[in-house]
Amino acid sequence: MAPTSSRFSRRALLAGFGAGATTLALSACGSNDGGTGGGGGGGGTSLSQWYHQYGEEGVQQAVTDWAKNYKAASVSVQWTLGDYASKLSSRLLSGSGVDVFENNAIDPASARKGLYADLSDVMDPVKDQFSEVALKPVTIDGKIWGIPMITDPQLLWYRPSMLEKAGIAVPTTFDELLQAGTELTGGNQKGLFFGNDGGAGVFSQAIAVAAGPGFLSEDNKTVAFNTPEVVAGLTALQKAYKDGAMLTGSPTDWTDPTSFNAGLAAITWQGMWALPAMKKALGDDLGVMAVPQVGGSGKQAVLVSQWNEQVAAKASNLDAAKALAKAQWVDDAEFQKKFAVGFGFHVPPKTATAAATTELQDGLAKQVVDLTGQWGYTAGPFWAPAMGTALTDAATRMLTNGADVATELAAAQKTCQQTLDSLAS
Amino acid sequence: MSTAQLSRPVPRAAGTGKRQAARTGANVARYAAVTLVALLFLLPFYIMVKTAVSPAADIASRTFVLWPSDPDWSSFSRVLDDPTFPRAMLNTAVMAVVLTGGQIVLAAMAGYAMARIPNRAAGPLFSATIVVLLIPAATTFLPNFLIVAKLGWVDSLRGLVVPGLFSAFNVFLFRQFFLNFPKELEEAGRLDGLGYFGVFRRIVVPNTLAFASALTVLGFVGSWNAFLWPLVVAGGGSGAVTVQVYLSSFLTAQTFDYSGLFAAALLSLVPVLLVFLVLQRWLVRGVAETGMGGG
Amino acid sequence: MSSSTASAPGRGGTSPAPSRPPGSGTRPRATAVKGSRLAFWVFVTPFLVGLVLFTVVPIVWSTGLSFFEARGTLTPTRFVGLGNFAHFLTDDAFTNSLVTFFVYALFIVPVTMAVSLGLAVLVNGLPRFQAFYRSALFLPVACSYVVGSLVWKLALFSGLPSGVANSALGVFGIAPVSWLGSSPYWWIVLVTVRLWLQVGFYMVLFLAGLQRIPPVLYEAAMLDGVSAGFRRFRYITWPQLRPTVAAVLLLLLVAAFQAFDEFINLVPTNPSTRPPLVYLYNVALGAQRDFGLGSAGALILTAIMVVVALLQTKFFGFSAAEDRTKAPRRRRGGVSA
Repeated sequence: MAPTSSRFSRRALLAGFGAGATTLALSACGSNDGGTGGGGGGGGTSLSQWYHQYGEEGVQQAVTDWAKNYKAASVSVQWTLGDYASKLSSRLLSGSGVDVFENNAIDPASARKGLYADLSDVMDPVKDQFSEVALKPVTIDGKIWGIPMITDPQLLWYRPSMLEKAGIAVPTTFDELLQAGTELTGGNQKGLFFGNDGGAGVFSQAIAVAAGPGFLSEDNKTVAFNTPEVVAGLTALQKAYKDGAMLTGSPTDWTDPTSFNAGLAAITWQGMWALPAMKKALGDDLGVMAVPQVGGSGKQAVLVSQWNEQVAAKASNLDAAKALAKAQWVDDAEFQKKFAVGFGFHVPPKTATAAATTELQDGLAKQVVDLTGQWGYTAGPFWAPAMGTALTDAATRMLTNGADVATELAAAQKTCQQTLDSLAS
Repeated sequence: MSTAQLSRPVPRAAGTGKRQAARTGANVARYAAVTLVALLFLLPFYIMVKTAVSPAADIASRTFVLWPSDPDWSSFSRVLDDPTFPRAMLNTAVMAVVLTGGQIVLAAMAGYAMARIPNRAAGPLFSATIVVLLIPAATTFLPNFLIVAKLGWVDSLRGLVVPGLFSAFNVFLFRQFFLNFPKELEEAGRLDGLGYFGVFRRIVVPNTLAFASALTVLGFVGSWNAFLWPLVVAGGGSGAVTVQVYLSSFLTAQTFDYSGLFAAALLSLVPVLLVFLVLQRWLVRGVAETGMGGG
Repeated sequence: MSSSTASAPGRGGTSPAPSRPPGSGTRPRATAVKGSRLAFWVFVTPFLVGLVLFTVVPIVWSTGLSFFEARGTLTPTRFVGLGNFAHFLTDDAFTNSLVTFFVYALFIVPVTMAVSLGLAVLVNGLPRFQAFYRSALFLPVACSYVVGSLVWKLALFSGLPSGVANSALGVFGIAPVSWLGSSPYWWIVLVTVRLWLQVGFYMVLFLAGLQRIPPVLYEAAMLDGVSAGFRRFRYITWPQLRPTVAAVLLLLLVAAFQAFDEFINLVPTNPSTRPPLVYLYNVALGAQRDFGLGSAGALILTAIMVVVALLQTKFFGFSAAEDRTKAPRRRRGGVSA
C-alpha cells in the first residue's frame, strides 16, 4: 500500500510514481479505470473519486464495490497510474474531473489558494474520535482540510535468526544498530537495507527525529534539524554506507519486502503495510523495533505517513462530494476496518475503530501499534516537498560523495528555512 | 537496398593476388567487428524475453540465470487480459498515428509554400521557424502545459496530440527538400493548367513519398516513445495514459509482477517495429534527401 | 533574436543555384502573383496558427508569469520582479544541474559521435548483408527510454550479484558493484543506456551522408595513390561529411540538454545526476508546483540553449543547404508586388 508520503519519502513522488503493484494481477477485476461504471442510484448526481494505485491485490475491487453500493450519488472511481501527486495537482488546477480524492501531502499553499474544500464542518463534531497524530497533517490555519483514512507506521524490521547466528543482541542504541549492520554483512547478505539510496530519502529523516529535534519547531516557524546530535547520527550513517554495510541497487526499493524476504538484508526499513507479505514469506522469523535513540538527548522514533480523503473546492457538487467523503471515511467503520487490514496492514486513524480491529490486537501488529502510540512522529503540513528534497539531496551527497555532514546539513537548513518563511501566512 | 550497392567506397580495381588476400582479410575483420557490436546491441532484447518468461523469484536471485528451466509464456496473455494495458496501447497508437500524420501534412504544406510560392512573408516566416527550432521543445513544456490546462485538455487525447502537431523541425526539412525539387515537373503541371493546389496534390506529393517515409519512421518512433509530455498531461485513471507512462509507473513501484512488466515492454515494441520494418528501406534514402545527410 | 540565424554562413556548401520564380516566362507574371498569394497563406496558415498558439503564446505567458509568485496556481498572485530569476542564480541545485549537463555532454556527445560514425563507416564498407546489420543496429532506436531504463536497472546493471554486469565482474572475481548507488558508476549506466538507444539513429544519418559522397572522389584518390583506409577517411570522407557532422553535433547537444527520461527513471533523487530538465520538472511539475519559479527557469534554460545553438551554427553552419536560401529570398522580394 502506498508508502509514499511527501513527509518522509519524496522518492516516489519525485520519480513520479506512487507505489503500486501491477494491475496485471488484477486482470479479472473488471476495473473501471476509465471513469466508467458507478452506482445506479444517486438521483442524477455524479461524482468522480480519485485513488492512487494501491499495490495490494483487492484494493481496487473494494473501493469500486463501495462506490457501486453508494446510493446517494453515482460515483466513478479513477484508479490513477503513475505520478499521483502531480496529476492530482494538474486536475485541481484545471478544476475539472475530480470531486473527491485521497491525498497524502496536503499543502498549505494549495489550501490557501482555495484548491481544497474546507472540511471543518464535517470534522469538528467528530474530531475527538481521531488520534492526535492523525489530525496534524490535515490541520492548517486552524481549519481541517481532510479526513484521515489510514496511517502508515514506518520502522525497523529484522530477522532474529540472522542476529542469533551472528551472536548479536537486538540493538538498543543507534551505534549498536549500525555496528550490527556491519557485523551482519558478508557473502551475498548485507546488514542493512534503508532503501537503494542508502536511506537518504527516509532514514535520514528518522535520524532527525530520533536525535531529538524533529524537522520543525512546535510553532512551525523554525527548521530544527540542524543540531550536533543529528550531525553525529548522519556521520555514523555515512560511515556505515562507506563500509558497505548497506544493500543498494536492489531491483525493488525498501517499500517492497522482496529483497528482505529473499535474505539479501538482515535489518530493513519498512512500513507496516508489508507485514502480511513478510509474515507469509518468513513466518516467525521476523522482529520489529523503533529507530533507537541517537545520542544522549534523543528518543526512539517511528515515522508515520498518512492518506487523507479530501474534497475539491471546484467539485461539481460540493455538498454531495462532502457527503460522500463523510459517509465513507467518518461513518462506515466496517469499510474503514476492511480497508486498513484486509489487504496490507495500516492503522485506522479513528481510535475506536483501531481498538475494534482484531487483526491489530496481537503479535507484531500490536507491537507496531504500541510503538507508534509511544514514539510516532509526523511532520505536519508545513514540511513542504521542497524541504524534503533539500534534506534528501544533502543526505544523498553525504552518502554517495562523502560530502561533509555539518556543511551539507547547515546548507539544507538554510534552504528549508527560506521555503518555510515563504509559507508563513 | 539498392542505394547501398551503388556507392561502394572502394572501386574494385583488379588487384594482384596479394591485394585480394589482404582485402579478404580486412573483410573478415570487418564482419567479425560488426557482428560483435550487433550482438551487444541485441543483448537487451534477449534479456527482456528471458525475464518475461522467468518466475518472479528470479529477479532477486543470487546468481545469473541464462534461461529459466521452465519458461512460462503465460505472462503475455496476463498482460493482454489486463484492461489497462490494451487501452494504453490503443491510446498510444491513436496518438502516434495522428501526431505523425498531422505533423507531416502540416509541415509539407508549410515547407512547400516557403520554398516554392513567391511571397514577401516567406523569408520572415522561415526565420521564425528557425528560431522556434532552436528552442528546445522540452523547455516549453511548462508554458505548453499552462495553455493545455487553460483549454481544459489535461488528461485527454487532444492534450496529448494537438500541441505536438506543429513541428518546426519538419518544416525546416521539408523546405530544404523542396528547394531541391526539380522545377520541370511543376512547370509541366502548370502547362496542363493546374493551379498551385493541383500541382501540389498531383505532382509534388507523389514525388515526396520516400522522403516522407523517412520522416514517418522517425516521427512515429518519437511519438510512440514520448514520455515527458504524456507524463505531464495524461493524468488519472487510464483515460489518456500512454504505454510509456504505464510501464514507467512500475519502475519505482512497490511490489509488482516482473515477468508481466517485461512482457508488456516487449509487446509495446511490436507496433514500432512493424512501422520500422515496413518503411525502413526508404530510411537511408529519405534521410539523405533531408540535407542532413550532407550538402 | 534576428533573422540572421536563417542565413547563417554555411561552409563547404555548393554555390547557390539561381532559382527562377515558378512559372516565370511561360505565363503573365500577374496571375502567378495573384494565385500565389492565396495559395501561400492557405498552405502556411495551419502550421502558423499552431506555432503561435503552442509556442509564441506559451512563451509570452510564461514570461509574464515568471515575474510573479504563482505557487500551485496558474494565476499570478504577487509581483516579485526579478526575484524568481535571482532565485535560480543563487540556487546551488540549479547551477549544479548545469554543471551536470556539461559533464554529461562532455561524455555523451563525442562518444555517440565516434561510435555512430565508426559503425556507419564499418557498415558502409560491407560488401553484403548491409541491410541486415543496419537493421540490427537501428533496432534499439525503436525502444523507448522507459523500456531501456527498465532493462538497465532491473537486469543489466542491477546491484545484485545476479545482474549481468555484476555476473561478468564475478567471473574475474570482482565484488558486485551497486551501479546506481555509487559515483562514478551511475554515469556508466546513464551513458550506456543512451548510447544503446540513440547510436543507431545517428548511424543512419552518417550512412546517408556517406552514400552521398561521389565515388569519383575515391577513384581520383586511388589514382593519386591515397588508398590506405585512414588517409582516405581523413582527406576525403571526413571533409565531405562536414555538414552531417554539424547537424549531428547540434542534435546531440540539444538531446543531451533535454535529457530527462532515463534520469527520472533511473536516478530520480540523486542530486549529483540531476540534469536541468529534471530539476525544472521537480520545481514546476513535481511536488513543488511553483509555476512562477518554473517559468523563470524554463526561460533561462531556453536562453542558454538558443545561445549554444547560435554559437554552434556560427562555427559549423547549420547545414550546407542554408546557402541556397539566400538567393531565392532576395529574388522573391523583387517579385511580390
